[in-house]
Formats: sequence, C-alpha cells, structure tokens
Amino acid sequence: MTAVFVLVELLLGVVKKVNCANAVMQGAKEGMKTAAGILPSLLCMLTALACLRASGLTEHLTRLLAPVFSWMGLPLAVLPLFLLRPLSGSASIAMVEELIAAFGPDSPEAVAACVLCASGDTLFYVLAVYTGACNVTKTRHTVPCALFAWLCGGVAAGLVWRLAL
Amino acid sequence: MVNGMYVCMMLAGIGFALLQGNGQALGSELLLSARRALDTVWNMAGTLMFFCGVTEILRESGWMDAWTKRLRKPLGRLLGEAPDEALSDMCMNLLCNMLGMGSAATPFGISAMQKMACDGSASNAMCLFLVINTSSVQLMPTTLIALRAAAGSANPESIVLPSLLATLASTLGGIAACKLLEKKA
Repeated sequence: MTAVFVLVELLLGVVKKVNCANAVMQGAKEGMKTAAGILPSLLCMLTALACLRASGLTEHLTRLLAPVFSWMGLPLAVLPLFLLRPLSGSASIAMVEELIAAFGPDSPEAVAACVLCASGDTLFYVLAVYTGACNVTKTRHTVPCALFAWLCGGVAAGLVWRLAL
Repeated sequence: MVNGMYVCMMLAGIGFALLQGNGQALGSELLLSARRALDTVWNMAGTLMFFCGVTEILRESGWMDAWTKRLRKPLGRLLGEAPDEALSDMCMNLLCNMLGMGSAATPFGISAMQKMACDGSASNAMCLFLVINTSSVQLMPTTLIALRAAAGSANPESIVLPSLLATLASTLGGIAACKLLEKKA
C-alpha cells in the first residue's frame, strides 16, 4: 500500500519535473513540525486519560454506558474513544495510543480504535474555528447533521470492523 | 472546551483515586503516561515525516490545482449557491484534508467561509460544507498509520481501506441529513 502510494507520487513528480528529493525534504520538515506540535497536546491528554483509567473511572463509565453502545457492534474498549472523537483530536489520538499500548497494535481493539478515529473529525473544534472566522452565529441544521454523520461513522466503523476481522 | 474537558478528567480521576486510597498508583501512572507521550511522538515522527515528505511531491506537481478545476463543477452542483471563488477554496480545503494536511486545509476553509457572505445565519451551502468538514474525508490516515508503525504493527496500513469506508459512510450520512433538513428551513 505504502509502496504503491509512493510510486504513484514519484511518477507524478517525475512527469511534472518536480525536484522530488527537495520536495520530500521540505515536506519532512513540515512533518517534523507537526510531530513536535503534537507532543504537548498529546502529553496533556494522555496524562488526563491515564488519570481516568488508573482511577478506575474509565471502566465504570464504560460498563455504565455499555447497553447504549453495544448495538453498534464495536468492542467495548473503544467506547470512550467514540465519545471523545467529536470533542478533541489530541484526546482521540491519545486514546488510540492507550488502546494500542494496552492491547497491541494488531489487536481487534486497536484496529477498531483506528477505524473509528479515522471515521470522523473533531466536530466541535472545526465548527468553532470556521464559524468564528466569519461571524456565523446561527448554524441552523449544521450541528444535528454533523452529529448524525458522527453516528453514521460509528455504525460504519462497527460494520467494517466486523467484516475486516 | 478542551480546558473544561481536561480539568474535569483530571479532577474526576484524582478525586476518585484518592477516595479509593490508591493515589500513589495514580501518581506513578501519571508520570509513566507523560513519558509515554514522548516515546510515542519520538517513535512515530519518522513515519509521519516520511508521509508528509512524499505528499509534498504531490503538492508541488500541481496535482491539487488540476483537481480543484475538475472538482469545482460537481461540488458547485452539490452546494448549490456558493460563489465561484469560494468553490476553489473549498476544493483546496477538501483536497488538503484528503491528503491528511489538516493544517494546510484550515486557511482555505476559513477563506471559503468568509467568501460566502452571510448575515449571521449560515446558508445551506455553508452548513453542508461544515458538515463535510466535520466528518473528515482522509485517504491516508497518516497519524494513525504512524502510531501503529511506532508500536511495531506487522501491517500498519491495513487500516486504510476500512477507515476509508467508515469515513465515506459518515460523510455521505452527513450530506444526506443536510439535504433532508435544508429544505425544511
């Protein structure tokens, strides 16, 4: 997959006479900034999530909400991730990392977590940034539709995850 | 909002742990997770840099401009009433998001929103654009692949296709809901 992805981009670069090596270095520099930029927010959210988990609250909450969630067909361990996804991007990434560390990167739980995390974006953050930038105060049907999309993502992640196993 | 979340999570966790008398375990868990944050970023930085690097070729090859031209018409039909300059920005925004360049996408999105003049109430086109953006359409979930690679996964990219299907479903669901509700208003 990665090999094909890279091959396509390289061929395109050669055809369009792009200085490929230079472009990769430029892009890698951006990637370095991204990675460094993730660290503070990841640290913040990873410690908060660890706090919830070590205290046993995550487990209690998951058990409490399990009946509402079980029809989606996803493993119970990813329930906190499903709830966090629309609220905070770095908390979601931190939660995926928690699940990968707990179950292993190729475990069903970790795969479900990745698919679920990729199924949506940080709904409320995106809304806040975009509406704030252009003085929109009435978002009309945006929030219900976005929440519906979030739910669709969860259901689809459940379906796809069961098929992929 | 992030602040509220953080404070609530920390207070609830620490309070609950102290009540149960395992504050000591929580303390060491906190410090351990702080170290894990650094380990994670350190381990995934290489993969992330690699993907960002290769994607840059795509950007410099003019692929995005070509696709912006191609996507403008269908997107215009979907949105209905957006002005032309806003449409190009929206195409760029969506393409950047697809390639996982979220930080490059945001300025285009903001500029598109600003070009769709409004009186404080979002137009149908704005609502639809926002919903598409909140549901994310990413071709390569590079951060997640990097996380899996960092943890030593045997096949870190195996999530690409399932992820694509899931995010496609969420986006289509959002578009359908928008189209249904916008007529009522």
